[in-house]
Amino acid sequence: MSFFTSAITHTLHGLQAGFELFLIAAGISIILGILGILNMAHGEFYAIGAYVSAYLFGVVASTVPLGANIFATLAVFVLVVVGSTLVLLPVGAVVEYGILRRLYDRHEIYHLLGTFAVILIVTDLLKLVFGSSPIAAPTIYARVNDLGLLEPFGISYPTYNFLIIIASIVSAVFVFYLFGRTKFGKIIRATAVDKDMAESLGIDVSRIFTVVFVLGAFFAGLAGAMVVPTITANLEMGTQPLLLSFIVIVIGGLGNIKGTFVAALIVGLFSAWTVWLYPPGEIFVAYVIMVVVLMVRPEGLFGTVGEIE
Amino acid sequence: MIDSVLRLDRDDGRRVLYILDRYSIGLARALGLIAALAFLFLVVPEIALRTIHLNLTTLNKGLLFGFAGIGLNFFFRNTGLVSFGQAAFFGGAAYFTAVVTRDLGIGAIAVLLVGAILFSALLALLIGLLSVRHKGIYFALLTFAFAQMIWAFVIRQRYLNYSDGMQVRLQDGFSILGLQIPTEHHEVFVYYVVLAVTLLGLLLLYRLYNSPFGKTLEAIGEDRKRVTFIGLKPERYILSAFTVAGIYAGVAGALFGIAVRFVSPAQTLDFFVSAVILFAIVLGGMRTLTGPIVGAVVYIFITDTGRYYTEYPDLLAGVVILLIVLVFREGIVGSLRNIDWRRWVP
Repeated sequence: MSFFTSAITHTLHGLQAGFELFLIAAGISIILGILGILNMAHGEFYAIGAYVSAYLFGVVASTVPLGANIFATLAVFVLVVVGSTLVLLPVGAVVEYGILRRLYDRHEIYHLLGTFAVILIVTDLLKLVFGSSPIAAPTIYARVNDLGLLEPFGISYPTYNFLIIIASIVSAVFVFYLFGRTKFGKIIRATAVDKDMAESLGIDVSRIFTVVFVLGAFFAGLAGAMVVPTITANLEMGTQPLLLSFIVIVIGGLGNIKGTFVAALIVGLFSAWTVWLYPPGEIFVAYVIMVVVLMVRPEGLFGTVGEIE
Repeated sequence: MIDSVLRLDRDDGRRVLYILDRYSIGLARALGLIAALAFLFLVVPEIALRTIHLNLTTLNKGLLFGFAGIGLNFFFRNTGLVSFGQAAFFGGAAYFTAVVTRDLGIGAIAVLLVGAILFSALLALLIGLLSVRHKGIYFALLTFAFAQMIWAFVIRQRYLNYSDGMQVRLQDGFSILGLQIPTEHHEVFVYYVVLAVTLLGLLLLYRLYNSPFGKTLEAIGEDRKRVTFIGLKPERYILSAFTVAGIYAGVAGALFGIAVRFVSPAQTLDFFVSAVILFAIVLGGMRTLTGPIVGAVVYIFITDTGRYYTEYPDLLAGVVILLIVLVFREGIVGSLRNIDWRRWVP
């Protein structure tokens, strides 16, 4: 493999990781910006999406005969991913309604502890439902990769991972459209800036809170549902994305979606390039970037604290 | 002769009452304290010997996480800042102790603890210097990032046996103040050391809370700006308090390595370690002195010993945490203290 092609491959890996990270971190960031809560349980939403889609992919693979038909395969991919992500809607609503609602006006240590309890509960519930051994979805992964979309260009990159990048870009565009161009997005941004003012203008703030939290859970679940054929769904899978998301939102500026997006790509790309050029530095690089950014610009790259842009 | 030793004259009695009065401890509370100490020192090890449900190592672990918790509570309660990276000091000192025992063959616990204090104080000063400028959630995330960096560093070191962890063992066992600990009684001896250190730590912290230093910190927590107007430098006080918290976590970590005779990134440096140390404060009650210890012991007991009773100990722990967060808001010790016991006594 020439230097050039491996550069492309690793950059694609970085993009995939970055976009995935964005889907998770965007939720944490928006929830922090509007609800004022650092949601520790966000990684578990990612894990729930992953488990459900691994299960569904398994069911589909054993019942539907998947040919190498590109459209049938794509349809299965989209249906399963969206289907498993829908599970997050009630889950998010229950967590917000049952727990977070009672914590808003309390010190942030209670936010951390309350959502930490959700991690513990969700992990054991996943163990209860799906068992403690990891589950994988190898069939669908192999089928999609058989399509070999990138082979003609001389790039050895799994087609499935390429699909993840495409789907993530679509989701990211949707997120930006939702927050930047729609009335709903405007309402949410207004609520983030001044809750009392928004309320006095007739906005049902507590409903906005629920919707925002459910949306955040949805995107984390989406990331998990998409990623699962490339990795196995396991009980610890929520931790690493959560920790990386913390880094991402700090680098980008708390509660800032644009910043989160840039930071997610920076972390994803730099991690991938480090894996390629200096493997031992892999787990270091994200933390180093974060500390450097905080030292130089404590409010993050796009820091406008409390505002969503 | 025994008679003359035991006989207290009226002056002695008065002196005792005077001391109790000086520390504003009622006689009933003093007796309760003595009973509690007797229970901890004499009864608990006996119970642990006779049943498998109470394991001294589990208890040691809980006490030590709690010890790190009371130190962090001193910092948190006074400054309102959340450190999400106590694992840096806990695990750092644990590994420091492991390396010192392995490479220098030192088994004297007192020496190891002095080393751990120096090590964690330096580390806390370093991390603190880089972090105390930041407020709120930024401070939490920054301390968290430093702890994660140390974790990432350790799991890549061959010298520290990567993520597999290191034994903390010596041929002839450890010694405490010149007294050699027989290896077969290691657990009990370490339990006594942990108890003694915990009591000493509590006493010290009690004095610290009521010292001018503690009062200044309290003022900083209430209004940082006004403290600046008086002409004090809040950052310096916050850094000192952070170092105190770091030393407590370091001592706890060093004793953890000695108690478990094994240190690993998963058990001492993981982000869950920081979380447990932090959350012990809330579980036990942040407005109490001993709360974090009770909180940590209960949490570790559920997740460690709970494994023998249920396949889902985390679920149990999660529900207990939610109950405390949502219902018993003052934590275990705080809620117990709020009950008006006199109502139940005729």
